[in-house]
Amino acid sequence: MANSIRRTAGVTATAAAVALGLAACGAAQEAGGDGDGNLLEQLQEQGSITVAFAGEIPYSWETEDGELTGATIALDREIYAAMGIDNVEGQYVDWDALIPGLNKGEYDSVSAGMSILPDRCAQASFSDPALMYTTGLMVPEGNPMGLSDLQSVIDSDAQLAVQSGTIEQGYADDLGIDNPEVVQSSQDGMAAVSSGRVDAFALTAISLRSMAEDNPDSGVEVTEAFVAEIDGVPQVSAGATVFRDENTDLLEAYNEQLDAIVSDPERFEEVVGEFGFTEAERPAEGLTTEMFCEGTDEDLQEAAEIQESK
Amino acid sequence: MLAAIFDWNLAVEAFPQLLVAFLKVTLLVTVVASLLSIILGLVWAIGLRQLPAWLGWPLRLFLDFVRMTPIPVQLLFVFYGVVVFRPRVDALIIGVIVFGVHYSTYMAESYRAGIESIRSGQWEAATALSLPATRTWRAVILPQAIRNTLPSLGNWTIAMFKDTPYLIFIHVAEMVTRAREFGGMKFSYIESFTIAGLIFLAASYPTAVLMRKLEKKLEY
Repeated sequence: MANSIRRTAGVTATAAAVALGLAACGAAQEAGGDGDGNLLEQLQEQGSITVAFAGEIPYSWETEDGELTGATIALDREIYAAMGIDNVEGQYVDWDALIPGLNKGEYDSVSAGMSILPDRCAQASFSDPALMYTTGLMVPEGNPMGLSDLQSVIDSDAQLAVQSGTIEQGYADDLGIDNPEVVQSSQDGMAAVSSGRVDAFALTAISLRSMAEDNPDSGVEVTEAFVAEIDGVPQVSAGATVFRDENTDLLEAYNEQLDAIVSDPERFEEVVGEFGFTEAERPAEGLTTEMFCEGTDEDLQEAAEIQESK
Repeated sequence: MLAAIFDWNLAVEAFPQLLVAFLKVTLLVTVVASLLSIILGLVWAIGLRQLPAWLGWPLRLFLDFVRMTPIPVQLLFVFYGVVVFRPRVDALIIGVIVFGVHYSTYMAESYRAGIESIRSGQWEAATALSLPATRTWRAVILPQAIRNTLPSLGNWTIAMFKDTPYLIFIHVAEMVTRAREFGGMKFSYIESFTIAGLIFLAASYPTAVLMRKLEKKLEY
């Protein structure tokens, strides 16, 4: 899940240690390479960049043959090629360690469709919005309870499952949904729906769709995507590529190429369409990283209006 | 330096969420499962002594089996076993039962040690007075045995407290899971885990004091 905020139990100690070590050295860390101001030139000279990925379908993962693929990787390849960097290397990193490792200089960018969130903006710099996220519900085939969004889950008293550490878990908490089942992985969530243990599993729509397509015999379907609302505020969410704060030259060059793709529906479809992304996931013109980094109710409201009027 | 490592604002933000998770899951499971295991443990211990051999050894086998397999495996086994027949069963109830039965096997051993520490003269005196078995247990053996057993029952209860994070295996998010989620959300784990640790301490310590008081009260 590109917008998930977590990543599994076993790694916690390591991640905590990394986070702690990082907090301790904090800004003092001048991260990777020499003379950082010129990271862009350096990369162009090398003709190669290393990006971190968390192995999440359909954003960025490695196939069984070891080939790096996914929507954010496809975007990266297009963009870096236009910048004169022809080779994109991947480094697998646990979700929790993506930003800490970036700041330590282990790689130069995070390509995992990470949601732009205020807490994260405090730690690193996000590119312009690359992909818009909406929420979906996985329900038993035929949608017997007629669920359409989180409000309908509350109204019909349906049993909901959410994945530990995801934005959807936060929505369920904020909406006061009673005792949702907390699953550890998206596969667990699908199993909970198909076994009849829960009535619905809430997750990023794009993740649910790709999972349902990969498992046609599981007896589940995915409802139409929606934007969750909390206290009347639409919870718009956007994924982007992450860079270190000091590499502004790289960020600006990246944004320039990204905007060229995102502002053109056909090109967007061409690059990320094969991974299940549609026009609905294309960020509208006028959406800014700042809106999501600030993330106040007004910002989200404004972002929702911009995205809707596309 | 400390400020860079430990953010007090995050700690303050984490506290109420973690406390709620503690009260609603960790404490609830520990209290109910403790009561269950204290009662079941005694039943097992008396059963092992009183039952005829053909019933005694299957019980022994069952207790050893439960005691020697890990809690996560038992949680998953029971959970997925039950879900087949009752998909909507509350995972919390399964958690309570598994924890209760698991720890009852340890407690049975503690009771057994307490019972075996009673001098044989006590048994012989009861026989000589031709006291019925129930009276022997209730009036002679158990009052002495439980006095010896109590400290270790208290220890098992505290141990159970600290095993509750395993509940996430059956999709029940207790305090430690919540602390991890909070940490992942903020990319900073030290605050929420520190708070979780302190809540554990704040709960375990009075438990230990209470047990000690109870022991004193039961002394001769």
